[in-house]
Amino acid sequence: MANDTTKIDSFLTLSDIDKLVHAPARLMILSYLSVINRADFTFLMNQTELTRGNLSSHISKLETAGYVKVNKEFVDKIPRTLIRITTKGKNTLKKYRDNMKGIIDSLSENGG
Amino acid sequence: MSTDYSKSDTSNDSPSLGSMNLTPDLPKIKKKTVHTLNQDGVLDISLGLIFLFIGIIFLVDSVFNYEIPYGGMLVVLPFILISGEIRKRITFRRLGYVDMHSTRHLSFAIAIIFGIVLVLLILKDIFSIRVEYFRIIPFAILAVLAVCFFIFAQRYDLKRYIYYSLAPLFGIVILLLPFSRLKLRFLFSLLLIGVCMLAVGFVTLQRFKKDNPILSDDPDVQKDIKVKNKGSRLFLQDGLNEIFLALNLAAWFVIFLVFKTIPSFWLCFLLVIPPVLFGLLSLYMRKRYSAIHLEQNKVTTYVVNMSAVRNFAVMFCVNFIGFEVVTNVGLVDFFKPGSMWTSALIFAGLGCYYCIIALKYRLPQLLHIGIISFLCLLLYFLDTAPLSRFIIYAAIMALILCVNGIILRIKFPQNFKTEEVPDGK
Repeated sequence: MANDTTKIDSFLTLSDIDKLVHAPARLMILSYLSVINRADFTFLMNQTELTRGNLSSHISKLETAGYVKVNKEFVDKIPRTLIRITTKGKNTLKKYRDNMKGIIDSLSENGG
Repeated sequence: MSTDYSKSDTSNDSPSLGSMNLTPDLPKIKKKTVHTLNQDGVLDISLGLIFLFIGIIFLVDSVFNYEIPYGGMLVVLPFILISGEIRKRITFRRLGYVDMHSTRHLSFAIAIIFGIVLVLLILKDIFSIRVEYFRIIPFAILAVLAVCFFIFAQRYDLKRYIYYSLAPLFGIVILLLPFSRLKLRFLFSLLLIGVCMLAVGFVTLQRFKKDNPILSDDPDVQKDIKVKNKGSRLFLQDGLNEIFLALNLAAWFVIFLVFKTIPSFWLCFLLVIPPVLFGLLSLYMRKRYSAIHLEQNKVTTYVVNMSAVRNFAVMFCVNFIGFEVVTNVGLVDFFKPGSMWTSALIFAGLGCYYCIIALKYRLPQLLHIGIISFLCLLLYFLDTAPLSRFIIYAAIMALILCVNGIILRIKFPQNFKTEEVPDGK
């Protein structure tokens, strides 16, 4: 009975998961951005191995949600499209990690 | 994060149980990012150069008894700047641009190391204490270096840093050997570390260049670079640079003639006013009359601002060296005040500036200003005082610049029409 309750709790937590962050490519983009200060489009493309169109589409979605900020800045006199994670993005990623960890832990504890 | 994301579906927003093991391992991602960024060997080269030059500076000081001032430590600064330039030209063109938090920490660490060395040097002189008496210091420095390299190697999975950590340990062995003075043995150890890091760094850099071809820039960035170059080229043709430089030379004359009796400090202060004033005025006029033809965006604003900064810098250099010519203060010991070389510096400097921008932006109408400035070096064949020579030069240049500026300004609308300036994003 207790096991069933835990499983139900796990699935309730699962419904709390931010679907926008849960997509693997976007999760990876947010993860990379969280460990650096800022990066340009080319660096992210190189690291994530996503195609230009794919990355652009994911970044647009993240920008619309307010998780990342895309800015055109001059670095060493060269114009660059720089992407950085926002505080909201960092908090969302942290919450996502905690939720996922909780779900995986509870499932493994109960042999799920 | 081992799944291949390259084939991920952009429309897949639903959480899938198959990706439940995808809790991002942030330390691992950071490790991978730092590892990627340090594949280029630039850090090795810059650290190697720093060790090498610190070693050489102390060696000259110790072996040849040639007292090098504390400013000698600044010799290493260009190497830090060079490393930034290498990263900009080689690494970022291959990997893309990234600003790591750790880069700032590294700069901070280098600054602290320099601070400590500088304080030790000053203390050495103030209290007349010889470095040899701090027998423990060389051992401590080498041990700290070995530990730092080892931790860096372990933390970011950079195997070559493990070998670097062996070099300071080898240095400690050298310190224990009974030959020559301790200071010389320590310097030899520093030189050894420097040479090792430099050699490995160069090999790593070559390998990195071979393994990573240059990536094509983001199309948006390519477009912006194009707008920036065209904008810069256009603003060099509006004649404002020349007009304000001529006005600055005239202002220099007026200030010098009217205020030549006041103390040098105030004269120096007054000579800063024209560059600031004319710099701001050129910024205003360029925004009002030249930049209106271009689309108003971030790139145009940047180009306009940078052109004003460049104007200010050129005018400031002219006034500063002019001040050196007319006074005997000598703000910089290197330029022996009033010597022929001081004014030659300005002749050649302005000549180089105009020749470079004329060739870089393919503007033959600016080339003759540079050539005339160079030709003014012939004034040295005249048997006149440095001040008279500088006044003749300034008068010639003011005239040439003024005439050119007015002609360029009149021709600017025509020049603008012939330039194809693409729309900025």
